[in-house]
Amino acid sequence: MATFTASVEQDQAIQCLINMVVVARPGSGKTSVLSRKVRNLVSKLRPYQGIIAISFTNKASDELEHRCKDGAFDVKHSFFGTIDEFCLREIIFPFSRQLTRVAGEAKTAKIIELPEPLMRMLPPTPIQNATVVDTVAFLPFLSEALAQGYIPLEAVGMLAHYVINHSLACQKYLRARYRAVFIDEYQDSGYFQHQLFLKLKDLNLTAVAVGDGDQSIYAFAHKDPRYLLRLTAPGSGFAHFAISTNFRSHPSISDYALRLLDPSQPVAPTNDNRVFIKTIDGDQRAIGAWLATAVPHLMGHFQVASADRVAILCRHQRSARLIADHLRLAYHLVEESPFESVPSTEARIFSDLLRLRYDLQLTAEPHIERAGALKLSRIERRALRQAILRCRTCEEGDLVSSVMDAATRLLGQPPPSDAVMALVSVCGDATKLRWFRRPCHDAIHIMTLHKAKGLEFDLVFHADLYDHVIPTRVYPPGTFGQVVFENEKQCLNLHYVGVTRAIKACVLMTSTLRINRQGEVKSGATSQFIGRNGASAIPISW
Amino acid sequence: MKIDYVELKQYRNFADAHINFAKNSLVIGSNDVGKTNMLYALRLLLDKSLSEADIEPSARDFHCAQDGKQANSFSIRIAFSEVTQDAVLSQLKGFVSATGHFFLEFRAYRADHSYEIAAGHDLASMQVIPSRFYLKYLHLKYIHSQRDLVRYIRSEKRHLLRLAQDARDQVQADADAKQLHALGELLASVNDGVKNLHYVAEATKDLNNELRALSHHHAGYNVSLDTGAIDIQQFIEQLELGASTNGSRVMLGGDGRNNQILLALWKAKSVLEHDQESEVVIYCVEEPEAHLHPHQQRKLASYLISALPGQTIVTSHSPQIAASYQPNSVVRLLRDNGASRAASHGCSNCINRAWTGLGYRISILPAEAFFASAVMLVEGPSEMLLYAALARAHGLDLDQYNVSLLSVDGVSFEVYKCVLDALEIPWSMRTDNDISNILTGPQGSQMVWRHVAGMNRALALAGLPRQPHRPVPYDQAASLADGSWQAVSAAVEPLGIFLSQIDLENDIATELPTLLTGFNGHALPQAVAYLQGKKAIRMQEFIVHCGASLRVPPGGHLLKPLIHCMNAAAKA
Repeated sequence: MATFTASVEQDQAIQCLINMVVVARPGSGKTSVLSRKVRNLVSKLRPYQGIIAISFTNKASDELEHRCKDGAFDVKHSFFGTIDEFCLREIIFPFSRQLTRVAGEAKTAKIIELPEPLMRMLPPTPIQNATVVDTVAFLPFLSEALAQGYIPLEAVGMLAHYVINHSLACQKYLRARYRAVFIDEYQDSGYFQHQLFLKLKDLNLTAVAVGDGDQSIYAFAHKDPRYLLRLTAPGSGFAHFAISTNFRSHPSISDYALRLLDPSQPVAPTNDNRVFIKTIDGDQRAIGAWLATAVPHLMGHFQVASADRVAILCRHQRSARLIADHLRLAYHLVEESPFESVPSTEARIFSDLLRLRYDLQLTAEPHIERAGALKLSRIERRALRQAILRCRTCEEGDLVSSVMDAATRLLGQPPPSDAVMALVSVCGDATKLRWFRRPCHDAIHIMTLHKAKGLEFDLVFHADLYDHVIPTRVYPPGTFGQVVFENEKQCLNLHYVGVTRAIKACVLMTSTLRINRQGEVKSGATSQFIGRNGASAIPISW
Repeated sequence: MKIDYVELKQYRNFADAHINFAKNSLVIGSNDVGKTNMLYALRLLLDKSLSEADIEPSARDFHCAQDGKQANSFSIRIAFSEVTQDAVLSQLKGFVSATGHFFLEFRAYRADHSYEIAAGHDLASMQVIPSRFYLKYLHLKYIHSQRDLVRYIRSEKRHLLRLAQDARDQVQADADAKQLHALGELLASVNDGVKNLHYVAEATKDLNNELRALSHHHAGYNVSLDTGAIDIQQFIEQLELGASTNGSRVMLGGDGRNNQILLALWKAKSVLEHDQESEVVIYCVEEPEAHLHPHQQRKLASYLISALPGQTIVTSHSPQIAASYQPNSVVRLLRDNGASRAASHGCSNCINRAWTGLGYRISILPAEAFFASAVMLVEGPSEMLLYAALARAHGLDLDQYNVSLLSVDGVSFEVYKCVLDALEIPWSMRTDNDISNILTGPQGSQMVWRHVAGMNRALALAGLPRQPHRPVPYDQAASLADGSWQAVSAAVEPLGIFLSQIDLENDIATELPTLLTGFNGHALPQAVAYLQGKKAIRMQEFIVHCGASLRVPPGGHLLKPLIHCMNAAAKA
């Protein structure tokens, strides 16, 4: 924190004290600006007050919280977390019971996990398309779910919006406790997050949105950059700031990325262009093989300290898998949880317990707290703690029974049988268990572009740059022979995000062949984004 | 934010009590009725100075019914309203209703002496909470009836100094720093000087010689007496509270003054510490009157309730203190079938407009009535004198039975009745059988009637329908002759309302003809007239005139209200 010196545009954004929207380009020091703003504001608050800081992922939230708390700074009663956590912890759990009957121990569940009769109460409107006016149609379903002790995860935003609007007590609480709300990655706001943000502004909280429409990549999940655009439009009631200088990437990378978006973006002439392109003979397997030698070579050339500063970014998980399988270097593949098929509550508990086994820095305390176990007597608490810690100390052969025992205690009932089967299969599979280990320093990160959002690496290999992949295409009737892209802007954004993850160098990867979804080998035509707007990358010949 | 009420179920000597509180409440009640227990119930939930171990229930916390059966659990519930303070709202997430209500409950179980604390926005949705986490911004400050100034100063001294330090401006702080430095040097020279006193220096010479003889190791080692490294901070820590009058030092005051000093200090500290914007403090003071002169007591009560920045709850046995309170702020605890409860649930809304008109009369005398077991209400000073004398002459000890005589100075009995009923203090009263002229009908054709004012007063107080005006002529003798008086008396006497046959003086003539005849040399009718003039003075003369022979017939009308009152007091 002490080393951060704000640039002029950063400083303007920091000094502004009114409702505002900050459009922050990749690497522009967004988190530094945010944390500085938070600290300035919090220092003027009374001890019982705080601010709300909402990030897109737990990881981003931890990072912001860490930066705000740097140097033992007292953030008072501030909230750091994701929008869902905020809705649940500050609105739904404490105040829904003032509006409707809520079963004693309400827990979150995906809609598909709900009991069949409850699901049948859903109105015909799909919940992801629902707006405030549709809330009325959902109310019978929502109140019955609450009465049965379920908070449907997909409806968290709608429910929170309903509670905040109808509970005067909730409004009083939020006004008393919070003086400002900060939402990061606003381009990936959902409808109800946007409504909630405006509501908090109406409650006289200083509202600050940070985002970048060019990094919007979650349209498929009903997140829409138009909410950010509404805030930046004149007359929105929000002061508009832009912080654009990329302090992260080498200037040539930054220029390259911006030229992709804007044909009139000036590109500074340089003889040190750090954007490269490599076309491999073969498919993704050959890419893996080439990277095995290229990664160490380029790490040496660009003085990258450790392999965990290197990332291979792909469009799809299967490409990532293919490259990983042929890499012959230590890697950490970010994958879907092995408990994907297990109900969310059980999946989270299993994952937490297994993570605890491999990461000695984790403790049992958060699990005890989350289980509401504060009400337990001292003896019961001790037994629970021992059961949780046994997951760390037990022999490999006892892992299933230890996890089952701890999970049963945390859930208050034994997990369902399909969850148990999944647990048995994961515990018997060393590669699946590896997912729960903390990645080590000498492992290259391999992940999808979506997962790379908000991260940065010294050296980035950007794969999957094929026609039909980035960008994807559609074939509407009567357009035979024409090239029609499917949501070109989102695809371009994804590519832009990928390139701008790089600090020292970015290598664009293509190949003559590619293995598609069905496992067939296809011709690997190059992505239309390569060379877009005359952006130029240096071919690697070796 | 204020406490609306507290509900005590099976806690100590409360079986099931609901006690309302006002912004500033006075808690009264006889000794051992449970005033301190009630405050302790509040403290269990709200007093920071009670530790987790202190609030664990003990066997004697569970109520024992009259049949000797002990309860298996007890609960204490506090209802708050007007929760508007941001700090409290912020901390009590989800527990405050939209209307600003908040409930706290302490539940304890005798089987394992366990307890739990629950909070909620309404009584139907109380949730168990892990600890008294709310204490940071919502708590109670309590000052004990047994106050020890010296101990209090010892524990609070550092605190007071720090508060005063924080309150300095920069100029004062700089000046103090300079002065401290100078004092520090001065102290160092004092330390040196003491060390160099011959007898101090010599005192350890022999010891050092012995040590050296014992072992060569001690050659360079020197033991000496000195002042220790007393530095200026330690010196300040040793400050003690002293007093001076007109500049010369005196011993600290007696118990009374020490009590005042302590309360003043406590109040000053409370006001300084209390951040009204961000915390809620409820102040409890037990018996602030200890050792104080009546005027000082009166002053103290108003000083405490007006200057403390939050809700106050004061317990007291002092009418002087009570005189500072409106009757609707009084909580009177009483015993009922072996369990304590609050009369009319406490702080009953018993004040009508008449009370406000009577405000100037609220004095020490009516305030004393709050503490009585029964009260006899009379019209004026003559009755006061006569009934006090009658009680003496008939061996009825008013103080022993805790009975007060109270003059309403006129006929506004209704106001006192409301208050006494609200406090559930039994009462009796005696009023004259007044009959007077009254004009009714439209302007110009008005007619004169006789208004039976005394009888109607009695009937109204009993909640019975009034009687019509009578045609002229009609007087007290007529009311006795036509049976009206007898009918009204029979209806109201069971309620403790006693109607004079004519008035006090005529009633004396009826029951004490021998004593009144010849009083001041008058025949009976003249004696009545003489007594009626200059009422109180001549009544006093009459009582002296009667002396020990002031005996009235035991079943007579004069004695009835007093006997009624004594019986009620004996039952209480």
